[in-house]
Amino acid sequence: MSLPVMLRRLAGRAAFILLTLWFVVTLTFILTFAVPTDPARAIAGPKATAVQLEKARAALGLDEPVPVQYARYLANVLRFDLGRSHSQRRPVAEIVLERLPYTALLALSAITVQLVLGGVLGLWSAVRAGGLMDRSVFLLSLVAVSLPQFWVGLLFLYLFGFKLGWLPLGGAALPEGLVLPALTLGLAGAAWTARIVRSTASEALASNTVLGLRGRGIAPRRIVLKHVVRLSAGPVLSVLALDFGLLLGGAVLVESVFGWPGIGKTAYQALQQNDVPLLMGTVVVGSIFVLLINALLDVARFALDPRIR
Amino acid sequence: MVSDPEPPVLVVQGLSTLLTMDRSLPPVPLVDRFDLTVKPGERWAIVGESGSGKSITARSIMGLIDPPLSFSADRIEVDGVDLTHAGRDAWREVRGTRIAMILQDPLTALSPVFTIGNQLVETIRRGAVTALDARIRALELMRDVGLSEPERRMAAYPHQLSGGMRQRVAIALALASRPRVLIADEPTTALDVTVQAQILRLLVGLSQDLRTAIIMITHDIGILPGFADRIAVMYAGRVMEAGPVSDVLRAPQHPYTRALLRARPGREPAAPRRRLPIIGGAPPDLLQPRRGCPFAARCTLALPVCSDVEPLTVAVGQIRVACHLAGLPSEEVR
Repeated sequence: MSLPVMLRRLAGRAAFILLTLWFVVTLTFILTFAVPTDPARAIAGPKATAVQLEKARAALGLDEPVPVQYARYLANVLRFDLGRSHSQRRPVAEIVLERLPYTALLALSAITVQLVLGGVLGLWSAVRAGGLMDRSVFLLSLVAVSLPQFWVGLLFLYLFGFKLGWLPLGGAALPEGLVLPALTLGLAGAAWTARIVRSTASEALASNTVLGLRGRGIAPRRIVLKHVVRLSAGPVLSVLALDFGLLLGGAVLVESVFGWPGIGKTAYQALQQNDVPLLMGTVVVGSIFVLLINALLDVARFALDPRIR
Repeated sequence: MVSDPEPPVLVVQGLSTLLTMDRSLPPVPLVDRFDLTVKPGERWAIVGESGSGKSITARSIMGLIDPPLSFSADRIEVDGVDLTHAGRDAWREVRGTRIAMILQDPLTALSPVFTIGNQLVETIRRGAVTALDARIRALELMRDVGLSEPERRMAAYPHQLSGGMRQRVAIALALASRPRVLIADEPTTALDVTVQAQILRLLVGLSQDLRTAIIMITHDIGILPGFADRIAVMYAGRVMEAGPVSDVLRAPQHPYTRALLRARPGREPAAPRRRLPIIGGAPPDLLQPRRGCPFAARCTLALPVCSDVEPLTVAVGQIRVACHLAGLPSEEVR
């Protein structure tokens, strides 16, 4: 692909990302007014006097008009100053950046589970359409999509952590601590992916392209693993990009169930402790992460299909 | 005609392709006892309306039939290899090497996500060929089919080429392993008229230079005179009439062939505008059990026997025809 075309596409993407970010940041700002907690009260403590409360409010700038607060908030976000967490008494940016690698690792592992498991099962189903595997995958994918994630997580913990003792019951030990959270987080996505791959691969298998390959005597394995995979990759990547936000949403529950020290667990804790700045920080950083991954997948899709270049 | 000492490159006898929709229903014959014998370098045309079973016939001869379709034959022999009871692997061995196929729409027949070079090299490397040799052979093939600047085209994707160039690439792919038989399923239908002529000339040249036998599937009788040596006219899955193209066009023996020839747009430019004759009625519903001649219901000459007894295939001169009226003096028949 020629470099200028690529750069133009990236520039367009970047503009879109900035616009979306502004929207997310503004939305979180508005939401802080909707939350029925008073940050000043949270900092000053439940026994604070009216004077102390007023002082805390002034220190946070909450006594100023809303537009001024908004402008300062935007300026701070631009400098990646996300405020202070009052539950941890540290800058929010510091906490979130510390947690981000854990979530990134978990998300990447879950996507790998999703693509490998879903891809293999979907391809298999398409190639042996109507067979036992196809019908089993159809049924199991329905179950996997329907099960609540926290319940799957607890089931895995009970089975593999407690009963069989193969894997730790939680925590951030690598790599064994990653296995169950990644499986839990990737399972529903794997089921969706299997369905999508099943349908796109069936379509590819029935296409003229595959008829031509078969007519030239290309080996069936090569047809499936090279051509059908490549022809099905585009739609899968599109759905993956769309669903990445959902995946990260799931990380809040999964990280909490497994005690995985990522952004999701931090968000859950912040929610429990009424730590609004920390919660906002996780949302903003989580959104940036989703947008970046989306941009990356977009470029990948672009690279995979010469027709849209 | 002097007897040809060369053995045929393709022998098909009693080929039937069935559609089984439901195990409780009898299978529907889409191709019914098809016979074809092709000699090296011969150019055949299989002609028929859409739905007459000509494409299914082509795919059956390639062994490319998947459920719910199935095919069987009394004899299928490709370039001396008996495939009558062959399994999937034996068929795959033969495809691309002894018999190859080009499809109607070269855009969808080529993979949109790989370069021309990638697809050519992949096909050539089916045999034990090194990457370098495959590349050299790919360039040679591209020159053979008249593609200019082959080095540059190697890196192109199918959508970057014109329709005619794509069909040339498809022909190059089909010729990669020098097959003795090439099946071309409506290879020019998706192309401009001028490009059509170029592709047909290319195919004629290949059959003459490489002695590749070509079986062209088409509904366009207009392209036959300069192209085909022999013609088989199909209707409702059956061969109605087959023989040398000049004989069939000059003196068609089957009422269906005559109707088909009458229904083609006039070629005489001086002829006054006239309403194009059509063949009344519609092809038979293949789902209904058949009796007699499949064309009987639409045939203007049909006798009572036609809808009861299936006509045998008889020889009239060089032509083989399946009609009860065959061999009667044509003045009487008309």
